[in-house]
Amino acid sequence: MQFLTILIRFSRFIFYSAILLCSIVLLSISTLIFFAAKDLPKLPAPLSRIIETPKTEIYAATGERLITLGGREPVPLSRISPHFINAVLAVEDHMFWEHRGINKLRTLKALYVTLTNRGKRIEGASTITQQLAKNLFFSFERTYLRKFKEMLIAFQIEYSSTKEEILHAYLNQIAFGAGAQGVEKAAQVFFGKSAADLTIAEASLLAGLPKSPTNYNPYRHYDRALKRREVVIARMQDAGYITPKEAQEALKIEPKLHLEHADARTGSYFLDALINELVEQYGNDVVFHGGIKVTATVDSNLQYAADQALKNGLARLDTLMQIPIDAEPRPQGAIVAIDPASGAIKAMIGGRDYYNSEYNRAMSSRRQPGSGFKPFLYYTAFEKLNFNGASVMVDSPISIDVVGSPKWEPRNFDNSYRGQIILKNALTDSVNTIAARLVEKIGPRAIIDTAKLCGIKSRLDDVLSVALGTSEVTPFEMASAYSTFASGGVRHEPFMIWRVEDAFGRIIYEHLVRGRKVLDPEITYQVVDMMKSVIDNGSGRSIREIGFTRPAAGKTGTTDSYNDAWFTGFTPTLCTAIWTGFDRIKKLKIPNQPGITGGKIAATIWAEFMAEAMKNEPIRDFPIPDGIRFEKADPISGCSVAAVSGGGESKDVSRVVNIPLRKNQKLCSSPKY
Amino acid sequence: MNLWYEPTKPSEWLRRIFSFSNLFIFLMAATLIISELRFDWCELMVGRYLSSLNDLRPETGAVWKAGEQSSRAHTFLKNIIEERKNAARYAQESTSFAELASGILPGQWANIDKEHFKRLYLAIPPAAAAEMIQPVELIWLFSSGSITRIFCEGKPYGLEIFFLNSENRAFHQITLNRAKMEKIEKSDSIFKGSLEDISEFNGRIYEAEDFFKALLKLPQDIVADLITNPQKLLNQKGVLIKAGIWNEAVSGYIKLGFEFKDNGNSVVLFIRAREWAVWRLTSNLTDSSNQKPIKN
Repeated sequence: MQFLTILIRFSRFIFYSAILLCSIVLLSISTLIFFAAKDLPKLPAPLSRIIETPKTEIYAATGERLITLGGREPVPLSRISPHFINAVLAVEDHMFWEHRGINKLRTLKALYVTLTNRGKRIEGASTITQQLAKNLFFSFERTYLRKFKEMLIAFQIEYSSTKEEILHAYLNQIAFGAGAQGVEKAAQVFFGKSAADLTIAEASLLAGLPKSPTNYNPYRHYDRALKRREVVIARMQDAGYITPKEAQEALKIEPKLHLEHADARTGSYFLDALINELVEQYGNDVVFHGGIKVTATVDSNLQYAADQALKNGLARLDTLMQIPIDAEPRPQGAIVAIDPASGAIKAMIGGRDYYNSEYNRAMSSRRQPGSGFKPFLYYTAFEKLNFNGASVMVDSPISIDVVGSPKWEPRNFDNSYRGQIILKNALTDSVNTIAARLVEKIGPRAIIDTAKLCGIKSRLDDVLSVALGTSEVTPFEMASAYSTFASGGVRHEPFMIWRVEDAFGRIIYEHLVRGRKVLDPEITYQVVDMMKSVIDNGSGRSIREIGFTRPAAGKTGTTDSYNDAWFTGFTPTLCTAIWTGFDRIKKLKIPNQPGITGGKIAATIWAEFMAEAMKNEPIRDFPIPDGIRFEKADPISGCSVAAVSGGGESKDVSRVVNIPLRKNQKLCSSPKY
Repeated sequence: MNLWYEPTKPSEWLRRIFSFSNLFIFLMAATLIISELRFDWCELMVGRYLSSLNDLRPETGAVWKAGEQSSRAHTFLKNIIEERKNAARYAQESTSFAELASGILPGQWANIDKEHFKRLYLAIPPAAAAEMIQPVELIWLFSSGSITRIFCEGKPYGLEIFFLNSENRAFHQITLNRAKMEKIEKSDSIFKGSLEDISEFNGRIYEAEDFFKALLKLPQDIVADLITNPQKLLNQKGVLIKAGIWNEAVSGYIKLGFEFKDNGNSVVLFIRAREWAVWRLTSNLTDSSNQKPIKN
């Protein structure tokens, strides 16, 4: 009896204590809800509004959509594969259709685990509604208060929305990694298809990612993603969404990933540069949340051709230099192509592999252009000294006194000297001593002024060697400056954006093509004529050797130590600069042989790109200005052929050089230097 | 009042345990728990309560932040569009280039149609018009069919006007200086006061009689180039008492001032005359000994 009394007393104590405790807990929770409710974030109504962020779209000049930024494309549940919905429900919240925001049993279990095993992670307690609440409003900080608030918001979401609305919102905002937010984007990124077309194998792989998008990123850890998929498929089978046979079949399939969208990066040097410009102009909010439509200048076909040409060229360079396949560092390259008639940037590649290095060498890498700078020198000399292509100078060793510095003694690339030579041939053969004599006469300042007028913006050193390209410039600047020659002396500022419209198609910005005449068209033509000779007979003749036959002009550039190899050239409608070299100073060199010049690789990349870029264009030659007349000159004396051959025909026709002359110019009239 | 006592028999214990109040409390608790598990009324109650407070709560959290960014972007773009619309309206309603230049602020732009441009162009004096763009060139630009629109861009100093083709290529560009345009337009308005009040006429003010005597001695074609807008003088009320010659030539024209007196009030009207014709007139005025400028 005594024992029974104690037992009953104890039971009674427990019973009333439990009731009291429950009352206290209820009261506390109510108080907490009352106070926490004030600070809870407001819930948007309707819930789907949260996904409707307008997307910014960037289009190529040729009409293709290049990229969408920021916005999300919510898809209705009817356009999502049921396999994916089932997979998500199975793995994330199999009681989704039953609960009202939380899974009470799992929550109690998680609470128990948390209280009894301090530090152990709470796993699997969050319902889809709770996850939605967390993703929409809360940080990923793990605190009890955050969990509590998340739970309250989940209750409100459940109260104010239907299950379909909640699932729709969840599936359209969930993060899968690799920059993919929302199931449609994820399906496009990972499999290159719509969310409606996902198979069981693909859907289960995708459904496994949100748990840890980084750890299960299939691009980096495909095996882990497959392991996780096994769990998803097992849960789907347990929940009755698929049969054991379907599960087995799905497990056998290894979904093929869509490799072109490996991550959130743009995958394009051009787009990076363009987005930077947009952000500078309009700010992050407008670019990523404004839903603007941008028409870029890039031509998708040319961009593709540039990418291929650079890849092929650098592969040839690797082979030439005998660089093993996985060796590092590897030579890099850059291409910029500009329409000289407008300044529109038609193609830009800033390196051999964007995903390996996002550094845009086309815009940011400043390198010495070497002889590629000589056209600015020759233009200046023609302008200041009234020279022409038949003006004669002497190619011989030269030593120039420089105040406060050792003598400047530039040598020719091949270490040979030709004696008397006309300027057209001096540029064709890239003779350094002639360039040195010219800069000595006209001074470096005048050359710098010409280069700046043409579009070089980098700092150019006021030293004699600037004529030989010792001041560093970017491939973009070279393309821009040469396009001034290509357009007959009219400068068009290069640009990347044709038009910006808002979401309703109203124009925010449009580019006006306005040229500024900066060079004399007749002198420009004389220099272009000499640059044509570089391709036809000079250091760029590899272009003709590989079959590029269109009228074109250009100039090679190789630095003394073979660190940089350039070719910048143009047709009347497209100007392209190519740079090749290592990121860190290192020679482009074939083992046991001389270094690689701009004419060897850069010129061939140029030819391959230009042949593809121009294939549908009519063949056009450079327009000849009204004041230009042609005369045939002897390449040694620079005098008229008739004068040299005593009034008769020249004996050696191949040696005759066609020289464009301005109105006030005559052959054989310039003094010899 | 009965004091509580401990039951002495098990039956008493059972009776007490299963008393009405105990059963009621137990059943209530069980009902609450079971009904909650079955019907989730706690969640619904809390959800309903929170929904009732929804509008009073702050718009915080990741989703609202994204919404704010969208909203800021929307406002930014809306402002640009509004400014553009205002500039376009201003451009279409402008009655002079000076008005156009002061209506389109730096950074703003607007398109104007050819007819409107023509109206504005024809409204300015021929000399200023020729300085802006030669009439022949304008005729060619408009008649060639290559111009699709005229684009005006506001600049700190005034306005840049571009004649564009369908590819947005600028065929011709005109730079309009706001101050200059205002000066040109002002120069054609009536000045209330005397010629002596305008320093630019200093030393070149003549009695009307002397001025017209000298003028009428000139051949008819020269007179036509001097008094290019006789209607303006004919329409003016009052008596013409003095005439003056401006001290500066602009684009081949020199301004002439004519002072009228009406009811004791003086006004000066301006006319632009061809420079070479003015020199001929000046020569006539200085050759005649009695036609000296009025000292002032």
